[in-house]
Amino acid sequence: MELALKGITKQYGSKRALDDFSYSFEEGVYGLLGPNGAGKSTLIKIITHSVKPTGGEITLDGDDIFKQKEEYRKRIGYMPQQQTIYPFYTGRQFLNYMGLLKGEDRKSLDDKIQFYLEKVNLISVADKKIGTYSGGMKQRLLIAQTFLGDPDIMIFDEPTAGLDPKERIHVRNLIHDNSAGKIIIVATHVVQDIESIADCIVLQKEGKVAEADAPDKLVEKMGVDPDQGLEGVYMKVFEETELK
Amino acid sequence: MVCLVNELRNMLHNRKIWMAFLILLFLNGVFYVLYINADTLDHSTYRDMCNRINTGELEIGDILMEAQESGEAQDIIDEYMAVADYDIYLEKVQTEADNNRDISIFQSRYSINNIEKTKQAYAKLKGVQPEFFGSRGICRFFGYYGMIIVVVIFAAVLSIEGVMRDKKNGLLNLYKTTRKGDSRLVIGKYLASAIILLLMWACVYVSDIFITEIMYGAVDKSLPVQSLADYIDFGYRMNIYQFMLADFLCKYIGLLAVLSLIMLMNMISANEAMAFVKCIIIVALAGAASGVAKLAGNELGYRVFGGSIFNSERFFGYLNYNIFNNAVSAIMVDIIIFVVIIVVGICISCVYFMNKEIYYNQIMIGSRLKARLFGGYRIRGLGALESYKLWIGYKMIFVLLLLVFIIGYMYYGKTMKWGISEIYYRYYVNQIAGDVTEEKMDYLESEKENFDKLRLEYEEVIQKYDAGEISYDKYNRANDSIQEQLNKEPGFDRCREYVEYVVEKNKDNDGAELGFVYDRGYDLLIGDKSVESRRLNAIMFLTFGFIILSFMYLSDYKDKINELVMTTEKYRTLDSIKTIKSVAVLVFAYVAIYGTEFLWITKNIDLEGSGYSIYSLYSMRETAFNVTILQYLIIVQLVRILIFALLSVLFVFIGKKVKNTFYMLGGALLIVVLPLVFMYVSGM
Repeated sequence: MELALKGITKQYGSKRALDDFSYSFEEGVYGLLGPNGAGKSTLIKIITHSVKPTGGEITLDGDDIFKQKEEYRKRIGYMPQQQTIYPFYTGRQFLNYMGLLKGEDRKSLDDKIQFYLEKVNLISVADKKIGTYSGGMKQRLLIAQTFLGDPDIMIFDEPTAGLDPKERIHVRNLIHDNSAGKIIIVATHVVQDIESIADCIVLQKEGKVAEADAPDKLVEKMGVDPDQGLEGVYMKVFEETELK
Repeated sequence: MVCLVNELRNMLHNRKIWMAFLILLFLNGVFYVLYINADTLDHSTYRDMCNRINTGELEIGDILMEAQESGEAQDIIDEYMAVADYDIYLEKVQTEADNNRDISIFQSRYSINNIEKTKQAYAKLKGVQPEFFGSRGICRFFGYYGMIIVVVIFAAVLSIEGVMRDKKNGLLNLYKTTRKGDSRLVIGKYLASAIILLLMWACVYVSDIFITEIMYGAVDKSLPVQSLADYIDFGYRMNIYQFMLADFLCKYIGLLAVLSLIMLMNMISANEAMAFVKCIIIVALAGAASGVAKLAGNELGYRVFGGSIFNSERFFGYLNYNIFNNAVSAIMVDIIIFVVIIVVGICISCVYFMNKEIYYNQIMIGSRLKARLFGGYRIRGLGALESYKLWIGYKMIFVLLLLVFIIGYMYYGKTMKWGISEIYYRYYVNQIAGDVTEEKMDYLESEKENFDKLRLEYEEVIQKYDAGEISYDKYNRANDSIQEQLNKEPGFDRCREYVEYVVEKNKDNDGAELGFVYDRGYDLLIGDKSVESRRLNAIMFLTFGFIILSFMYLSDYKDKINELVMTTEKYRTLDSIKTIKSVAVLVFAYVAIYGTEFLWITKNIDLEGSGYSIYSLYSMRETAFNVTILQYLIIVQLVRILIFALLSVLFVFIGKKVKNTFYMLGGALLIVVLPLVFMYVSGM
């Protein structure tokens, strides 16, 4: 399975959010790292079909994703950054709603919902209104819905934001345990969250790929002190941008 | 001051407040127009009569003749007479005061004090010269409770946005840690809400006066307030303008007391629902106490518990309370009570804010009961979940219930007004209803001869009376009997004119099959008389339709949850579900609005003769195409549904492009609904 982005550009008025972005994602876990304004969210929106690029092409196994439409959407799972979920639904109702939208079979959906609720540790509050959930609980609920529909490509936008250290480790492991045979893209600012699970780190800078490689190789390639690890790489690549 | 400015700025930038402001202002207008239309008298007839009297076109003596059959004329005469006899009324007050002073039961200190005060107050009114101008409209305005209710609802919105929102997002606890996070913050919140409430109150007040003057005619506000029929016994010297100002300010103080209580409830409650329940309990208790006091004849109790705040006539009626055997002006005491409520409410809010833990808990009232009742039931299926989202989640069920309530309010007890002329017109048309035949023409001719005979008979009676051949009693009896018969003549004349039109139209018809059809019911549905209700119905339909559609289609954009939903395989299915639901909602609203109107008309008038040509209805004589009345009715419904459907599709289409519920509803209001409201109110 290959999700290939070739020369993707996205223009918002005079601002170019993505500038000739090219990269091929294959099966594995990818960490998408970059400072604010690097174009991560725009890239995710384009991959999830929410926004069309100004130029370039995205193909999944050689077929244009914008021509595949439903066939493509069937294969993606997305966890957005924002936490505004219908406050009047219970956690279970929300998963039911998302599962049905993802084309899950109604008969098996209940079991799947139960399974993922247990996985994200929300079973005790599954029948309470989402409006009563804490930020961390909403985050875990959004993670649970990403797995519904058994997607091949999963995109997580800041999955660990607002979670306590124990939950972060739990979520990190959950993503890793479900990564076999899938493309998983995790966009984040928190380097530690992906350092241990990512097969490849894509550093995005000013709408382009700045660097992309396995974490240990990046450390070696950038000549960073191994004790600093990926954080050192991040600092080195984005120092100039941060200072700007 | 800093707290006030900061709170004011927060509220002015709060879209929910402005949305509530516009919707409530609009609803107030709709309810007020409905209230005026529910008047037992016809406002346009009343206005025309008053205008003619005020311009000298009509003498008051002229309408004495009409008074028997016209409620409007009777009302005008009563008002005219009351104003004309004002000096006599003032003298009567003085005489009664003098008489009462000598009666033993009025010998207490309070009674003597009260009598003296009353006497002096009315003595000061000597020289006041009220004038007749037709004050029914403005009196109805002062007696209208609805606008207070609208502003109280707005006060609740302000408190929820000012207090509960900050509680919800934890800002209230944060503010407590700041240098000015004490009672100044609570007072700042209260004053900011009070300022916006004043704006709302002013808009509601002025717009209702504006509607009143359009419906009932302009009011000369420089006249003494005693010129108003319901305020002829008002005990103070002021003009209508000053009275309006006093009414506005007194009610505003009452509203500030309500605002203070609502803010207190928001401060001490864990969530909006709890605050709402507590407010309801307080209102219910106050209402019950007020009612009991009224039943017990205790005016002080009635007013203290808020019974007078909504009622200008009662609030400004001349009354002195017995306070420790002293007669004290009721208005003054009422205002002091309101001020005390305001101060106490704010003080408790401040104390609570500074000394108690502020927390927000969204657990709904009755959640345990709901869990017990519905715990085993799970909403499944996309359609059911979508319905739950719209009706329960976004609470659109209340919008729908509001629509049903408004329709119920409009038609419950609404009676069809029948003038003498209309009653006999209906009678004669029903006599000849159906095909045009010679027998019917003969019948009309014989009736005409009967009327001619009656007139001759009447002249004979007058001649005999003038010649002294019959007594006054006999003359009166004969006169009454003949007049009763002649009352039918205006209706008969209208019927003859209609018959002439049908016969003439039949001569040059091009295949149209005309018949005699009583037209009032059809006119109310599709003809001249339906213009006003057509606009009102369209306003209601579009307002409710747009509100529900905006939540159905556009709320996902507001919450940005569409970004998640759009990545799913079957999100297009949602469009199909929403389309089906939109059709169902619009059909329901259509049937509720137009169906109820249809039922109300058919309850009062039989819609017969629908198989005849549309030209059989005089008001439809200019119709471009010749179809039967029934076909025309169906075409009108279809065209109307098509226009509504197109407007709804356009609204949703533009809404999806704009992706903002607030701008969308505001835009729709400006483009479609407001012009309709303007047309309705101005009678265009």
